[in-house]
Amino acid sequence: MKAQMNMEEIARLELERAFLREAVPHMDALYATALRLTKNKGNAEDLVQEAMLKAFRYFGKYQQGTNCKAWLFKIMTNTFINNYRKAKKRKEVSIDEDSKPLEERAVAVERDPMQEKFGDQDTMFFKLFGDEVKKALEEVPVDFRIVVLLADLQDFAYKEIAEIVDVPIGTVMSRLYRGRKILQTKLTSYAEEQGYIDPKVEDSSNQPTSLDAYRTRRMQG
Amino acid sequence: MKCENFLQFIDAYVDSEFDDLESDELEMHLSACPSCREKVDNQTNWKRNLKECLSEESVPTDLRASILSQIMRSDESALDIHPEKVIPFQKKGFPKSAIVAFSFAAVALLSFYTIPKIVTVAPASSDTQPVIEQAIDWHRGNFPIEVTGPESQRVESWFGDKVAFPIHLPAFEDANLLGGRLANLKERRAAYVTYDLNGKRLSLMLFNGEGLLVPANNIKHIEGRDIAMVQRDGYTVALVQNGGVTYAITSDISEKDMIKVVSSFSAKK
Ligand SMILES: [Zn+2]
Repeated sequence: MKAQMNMEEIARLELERAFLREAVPHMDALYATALRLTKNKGNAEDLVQEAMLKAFRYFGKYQQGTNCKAWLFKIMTNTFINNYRKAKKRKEVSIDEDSKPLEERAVAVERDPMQEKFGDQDTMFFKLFGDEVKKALEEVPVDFRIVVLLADLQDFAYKEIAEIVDVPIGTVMSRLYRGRKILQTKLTSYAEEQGYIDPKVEDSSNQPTSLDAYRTRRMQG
Repeated sequence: MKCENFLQFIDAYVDSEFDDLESDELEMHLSACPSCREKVDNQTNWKRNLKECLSEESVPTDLRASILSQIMRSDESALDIHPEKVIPFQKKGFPKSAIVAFSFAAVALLSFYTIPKIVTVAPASSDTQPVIEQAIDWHRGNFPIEVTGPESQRVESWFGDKVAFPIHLPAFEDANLLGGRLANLKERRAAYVTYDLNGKRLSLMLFNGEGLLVPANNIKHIEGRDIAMVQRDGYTVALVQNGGVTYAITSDISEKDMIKVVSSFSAKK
């Protein structure tokens, strides 16, 4: 038996405890997101495990006390994208539309599903059709799905999402807009099929404008 | 501001991207426009509902244990974790290699319950101080629990294959078992459980105390049992040996109250 621990062992235990304190509490959040990314419980478990062990391996380089949750999500997102691209080989073209200007990407939405009213029972809709909501979300293309999950499930700010996904804030905003629209369109048609809401047509689609545009506008009064 | 201008920024507004000062113009419009107000409410509800719908699931207990045990391995081989070496969790089951087997040659036995004579006065640099410090650290850290109480049987069986010693949780008078998790005391795997004692938190760590020394001047003889009692940083730590397992009890209560707690200590044999 070693009477005293050596420096290396002490350092490792210190690291373990810091990791338990800062990183491990975010494991549930990673898992809830991984489930919708991978669409499968087993793959989600593997993804979370791989991300957590990678995070521990690099934890010495991570600056403690900074945004640990965003750091963990960046690791998990990178891991997922890498695995995903590897698995897909070249069967599917990346949906990355960054190079196109915003206008070109605007889909012709006949109406704005965001404003579709599920009546007073919209909360009930989510409760009743939780599985459908998950399924619909999983059908949203992965690049859009990631930002929706980061913004709506994890409450990350646009700036954090931009860092996690490694794209400009403008891209985050347009992907978020598109991702939510796709999801809402799916849910709206499902709700209609179920007779939950009446089909109606309206067009009030509004593309998001950059934060700076608002700030500039505001400055000018 | 017109509605069409407002609606350009509705996403960023609902996502709380603007600070109070920045959103004043938007809020001015909202207070005067029921139509945009309704849209904001719809969008906020949507966001909330989606979040609620997706956040039900938490990490399965066995996955959590598998990850923690791979992180908390203290043997040399685990110092360098390579992703490619990661045991695929899907292959199911708890990786056997992750269960640390302790093999410490006993220098002196911390077994003052059965053999009090062996207790030695330890110099300040000895092994006793880190145990006390770390017990306090774990208590103070209030780390997330991995298995919840109040049924001690459930918590005991959760630890079953995760530690290399039997877990028998004592029944403390007036204490409510909140839950437990894996922990470490020095290089040893420990079981950590936490209780609510009339509004105070009480931590208990169980570990293999083989080879650990305890300062003899802190030993108290209570109800036929020897207990090492140490006070530090406003916390009281009591060490008890029972059935070959060491129990470290920590709380920010007085020594007198700690003695009361420990007297009610009645772990099954
Ligand atoms: Zn308006």
